[in-house]
Amino acid sequence: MSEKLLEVKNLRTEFHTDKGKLVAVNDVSFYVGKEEIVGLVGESGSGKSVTSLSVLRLLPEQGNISAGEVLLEGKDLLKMNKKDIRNIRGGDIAMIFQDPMSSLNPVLRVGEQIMECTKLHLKYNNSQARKHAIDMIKRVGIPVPEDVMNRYPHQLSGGMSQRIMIAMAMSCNPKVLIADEPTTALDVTIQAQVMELMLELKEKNKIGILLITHDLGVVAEMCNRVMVMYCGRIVEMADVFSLFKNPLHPYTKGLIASVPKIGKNADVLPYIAGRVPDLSQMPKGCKFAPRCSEAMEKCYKEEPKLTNIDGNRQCRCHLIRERSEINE
Amino acid sequence: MEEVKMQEAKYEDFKIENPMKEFARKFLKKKSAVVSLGFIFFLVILAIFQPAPYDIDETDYDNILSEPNSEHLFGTDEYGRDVLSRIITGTRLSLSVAVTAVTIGAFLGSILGIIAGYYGGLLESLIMRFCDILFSFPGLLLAIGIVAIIGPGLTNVVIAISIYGIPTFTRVIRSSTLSIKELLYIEASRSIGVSDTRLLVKHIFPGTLPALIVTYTMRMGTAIISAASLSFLGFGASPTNPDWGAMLSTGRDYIGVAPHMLLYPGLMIFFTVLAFNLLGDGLRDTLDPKLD
Repeated sequence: MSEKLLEVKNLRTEFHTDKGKLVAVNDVSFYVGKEEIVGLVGESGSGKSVTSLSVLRLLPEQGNISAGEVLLEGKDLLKMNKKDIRNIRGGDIAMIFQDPMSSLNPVLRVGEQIMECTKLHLKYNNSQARKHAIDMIKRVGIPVPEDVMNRYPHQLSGGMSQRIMIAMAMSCNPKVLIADEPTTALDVTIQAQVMELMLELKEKNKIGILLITHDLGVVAEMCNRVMVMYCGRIVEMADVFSLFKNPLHPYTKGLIASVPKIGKNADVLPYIAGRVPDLSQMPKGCKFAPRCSEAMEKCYKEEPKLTNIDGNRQCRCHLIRERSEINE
Repeated sequence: MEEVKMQEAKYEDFKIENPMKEFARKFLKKKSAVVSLGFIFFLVILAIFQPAPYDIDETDYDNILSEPNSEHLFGTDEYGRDVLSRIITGTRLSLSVAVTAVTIGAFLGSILGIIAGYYGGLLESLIMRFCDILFSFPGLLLAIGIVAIIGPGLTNVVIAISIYGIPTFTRVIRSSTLSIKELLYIEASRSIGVSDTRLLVKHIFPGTLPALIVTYTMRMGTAIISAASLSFLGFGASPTNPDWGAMLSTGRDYIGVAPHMLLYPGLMIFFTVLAFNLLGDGLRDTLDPKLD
């Protein structure tokens, strides 16, 4: 097993709203190792992004982390003071967001924005930062970096903006990169280029990447391990081969089944019936039970625990428990 | 089978236009705004060089209250002073009062607005309630009240107009800040560890500039009217000063015999305020990307 770079233990994030206290992330634990890409998959509203924001404590005002630990090489980020966490952000842990076009400040030149990071964290002066920024832009495969430095974000294409975002994120040599749906807003050919770039950076810089996505194709292509989230809980965790070959949780099965397949003619695409329940109206018992085709009476009464299987997999389902009990 | 080749977008395909040129191109399409800008530019020239044909205190007792003629284009007043010269000289007074007052108001109002918008909470409530209190007075009444407290005089007029400009700027900048701070690029900046102060100054403030510029221009018109009104009511410039409002005030007594004493300063105020408002409109149309 690779060295644990970032470890999240029993994270619980709550939001205080008019409807009362809502638990967006409940008892989530995982780790990201060196030179490893960990996928975090789930439908919209399953708590993927909140998990990633919690790691860097970037939650909006209403949100707060009520329990758990976020360890970066053993140091707990949740216990740090404001100044120290600011040094981690962009320094040791960098983040890439979903929509590159709106992640760049429209009134500042691209170069200035890339330089900001190294000036803040590595205390570079103007000319050092400039040189480094040009170097970074070259590395993410954009020709004529000097020209791009002087442009405003609206003068770049989507793919170029995401490359710039990656250049920005990588400019302080982070140990961990959190990529929150980095390719969702891009078209397919650009997606492939960006993914390629991320793989390359992983190899070269030996970083760990937490890749948040709802695109299973991307997961299959990129990740070493995958976590599936549903309603703020991890329902299944496995290495990428086992997950696609033999999904255990009914939700994972449903997700994989609902990917359209080229060559197969289907009148109706397979899908998971129902929708993600509202955070304020969570069902008792297993949160997936109302949509699950294999739900039993027990599922509506008691929430299953995350169970270890074969030492390297985890699954949160009563069925798995029963089967393994029978096996014993 | 025909072979299909895919072509990647060439780098040169992304044409860049200089933002200033882009702005100029859009702005030049707004005819009324361009004319207004020209007029304001003309006023500024008048204010700086003061090309008055006569000295403002030069009296011509042979020509008291004379109608506009070739010697005195705008006529003369009750002491035989040239109205045109007094108007030209008064430009400096009116513009400098307005610029100073609006700048002070914009400066203080922006600081309050950006703080209220960014930090929120109790601080925001306090600032916004303070603005509500200022807003609850009818505009000019507030200025009169302030002058009544601190005494008449041009400096005090400036202070009064600045105070009553503060809440407008606070509200505009606060609402800009509120919408900008929710944007992804602010979150992205926070994710690379940018501190609050730097975020405010470097990332949020430039975003509020379009709103600030438009409000500033619009307030110029209001400030000129307010200053003239206060002078007209006798709170501002003394009647010896060549202030447009003060000229209206003295002209009032001679409205039957010498209407030109009211007409020309009045027209001057009218056109100046109109120009600032039209310019503000034009700037808003140009600076707001949503109106493209």
